[in-house]
Amino acid sequence: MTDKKEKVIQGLVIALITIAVGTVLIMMSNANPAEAYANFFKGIFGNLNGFCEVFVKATPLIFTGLGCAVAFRTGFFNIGAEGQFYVGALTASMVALNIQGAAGIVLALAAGFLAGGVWALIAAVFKAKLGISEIIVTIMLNYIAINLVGIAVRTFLMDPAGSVPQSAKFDSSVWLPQLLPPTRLHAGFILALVSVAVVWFLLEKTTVGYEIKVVGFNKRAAACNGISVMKNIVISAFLSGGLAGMAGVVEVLAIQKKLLEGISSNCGYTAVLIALMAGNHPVGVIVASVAMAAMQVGANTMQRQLGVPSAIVDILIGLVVLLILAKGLIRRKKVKNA
Amino acid sequence: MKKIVAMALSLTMAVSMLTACGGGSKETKAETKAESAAQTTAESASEKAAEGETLKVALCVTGAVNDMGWCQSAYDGLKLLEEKYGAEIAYTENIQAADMVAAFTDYAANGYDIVIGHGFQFGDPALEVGAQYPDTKFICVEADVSSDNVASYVMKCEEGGYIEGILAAHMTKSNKIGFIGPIEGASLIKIMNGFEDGAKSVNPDIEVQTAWTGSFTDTALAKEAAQAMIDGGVDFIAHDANECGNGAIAAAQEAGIYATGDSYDQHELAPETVLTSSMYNVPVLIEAAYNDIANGEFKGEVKYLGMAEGVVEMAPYYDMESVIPEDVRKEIAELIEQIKSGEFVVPCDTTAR
Repeated sequence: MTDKKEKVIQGLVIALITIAVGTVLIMMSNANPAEAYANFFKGIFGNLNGFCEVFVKATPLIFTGLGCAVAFRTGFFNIGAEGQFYVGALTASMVALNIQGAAGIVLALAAGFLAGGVWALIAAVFKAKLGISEIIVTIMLNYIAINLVGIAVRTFLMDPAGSVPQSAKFDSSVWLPQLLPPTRLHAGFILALVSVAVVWFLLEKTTVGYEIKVVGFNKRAAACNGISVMKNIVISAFLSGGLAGMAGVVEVLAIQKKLLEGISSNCGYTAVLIALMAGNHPVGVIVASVAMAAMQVGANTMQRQLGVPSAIVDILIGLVVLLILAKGLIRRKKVKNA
Repeated sequence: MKKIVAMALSLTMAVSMLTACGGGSKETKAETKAESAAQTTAESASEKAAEGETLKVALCVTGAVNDMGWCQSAYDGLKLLEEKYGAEIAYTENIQAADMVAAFTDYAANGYDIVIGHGFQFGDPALEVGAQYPDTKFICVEADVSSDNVASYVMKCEEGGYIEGILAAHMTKSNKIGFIGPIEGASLIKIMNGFEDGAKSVNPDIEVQTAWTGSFTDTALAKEAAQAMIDGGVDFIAHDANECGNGAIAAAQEAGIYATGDSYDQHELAPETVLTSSMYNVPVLIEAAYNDIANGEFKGEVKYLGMAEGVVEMAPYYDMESVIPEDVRKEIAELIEQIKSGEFVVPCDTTAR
């Protein structure tokens, strides 16, 4: 009970500090904080479009955040969700530009998952065989993937009819259906929720999931008990990369409907924060992603209506993450004192 | 812990369902309203203006509104609308290609009457969002799209390029002149081609070297490209490379040759180097678009505005007047008059050569 009470108090303290810092930052940019906060919430709840936009923005975050959470569970620090997102988007675009109809959607999803998984697998193999830090390798692979997309949209995937570096628009038969037109809410959000359910089931109810978690808790103990550490790292890396790849697929099939640069909005990096905030729990990933997306949507409206820089929200998100980490620090200190 | 999460989840779900329902009914209301007003939509914004209501105008730009160039020129136009017509304004900076639809949708959903996308990249997003929000007018600068409520306003920048080409052909001694472009796009290709056409109208045998830097902002790259041309014997540099073109002017300044500026009066960058500049008066263009809508003269079409409308203009020569022969100045002044009166039409070619 006291534990729960403590958590509520911690949450409130974090919220209060965040609002206080936010207020100061808004005043620094010469806006009225009350008006700014009113616009912030108007952006999220003011009309159906804004509200749905939260879930549109949350969708890629759920996929990539889930991917990071799965990898972190085995102690595989996948910082490469960004790159896996882009190889997923790239392969899905290649499929979607050539195959039409439902088959195109299914194949694009499969190809994107596979490509993202293989991209993460490279880092896993480097770690397993050569002992090279997966953090370095996944970050380097990000650059390669991002620039691969840059080359693709300027050369073999470039829209022959245009002069802008982007692919041709996909046939409408491979677009993921909109759920509530004219808002952009799409079937990809449902897919993200299903993925969360599947990953939760895998982790909590199957032997594979159990082994993954054991490896994460204590590699030595796992090895001593006949659980292959490498096998489980490879499995979780593949799954992690595949999920991040799916984020890329969904973004190109549902939102952009063509391949272009800069479509991730850095969700591959935000994913690391989301996994952290969620404590690597699949359901927590949904909550953290929706919260993060809501902050972005509110901040965008704040910027569009009042000219308050949306960078404020990036600062606040960083602050929230720091406070969550500091919370753990306080708790640990208490244990020591006791 | 689990209980709290479950509770939080069910709460969000309940709230989301409630809000979704509320929003849904509102949306249908808006739709029926839109349908009933379908015949009169073209006049809706102008009616508002006629009744003395303020129009809500939003601007979307790809860079910063204080960039001293392309984006700032649009922002100046927006401020003009606020000061002169009392329009309610809003703007968003640094919009990436992937976020254009979201930005347009947000403004349209919040009841803005006019949404301006400043750049050809905004064309497709405007068509996409325009189809969903028929009550909002979308203005795309330098794009080539149009529909019932989407219009493109294009500046005849090639007129400026043509004049610069004529000037360059008269001023060069080596008969080699250079032109630096940023990213290959229709609205930039036509200036480059105009420059070449202008130069060749003076001297058909002149050698026009061209290069694309692939960037709007990489000053060093433009400087390198210009330097390579100068090393090859080029003795006149022109550009349409936005911020990145400053590098081209710097290279010309160091080599002691002449250059022309672009977008705004670039005289101050290098007073002894820049002979003149093509200036694009974006505020005039935005004001024209605003008036079209307010007066009910809006048409979903691609509209071209140039020297005749005061949208394209040549900057003064300042002290450099003395280095340009009088007959050349006279020829250019006469040609500008002919372009303004419509007697002479500068060819507009948007395909890369």
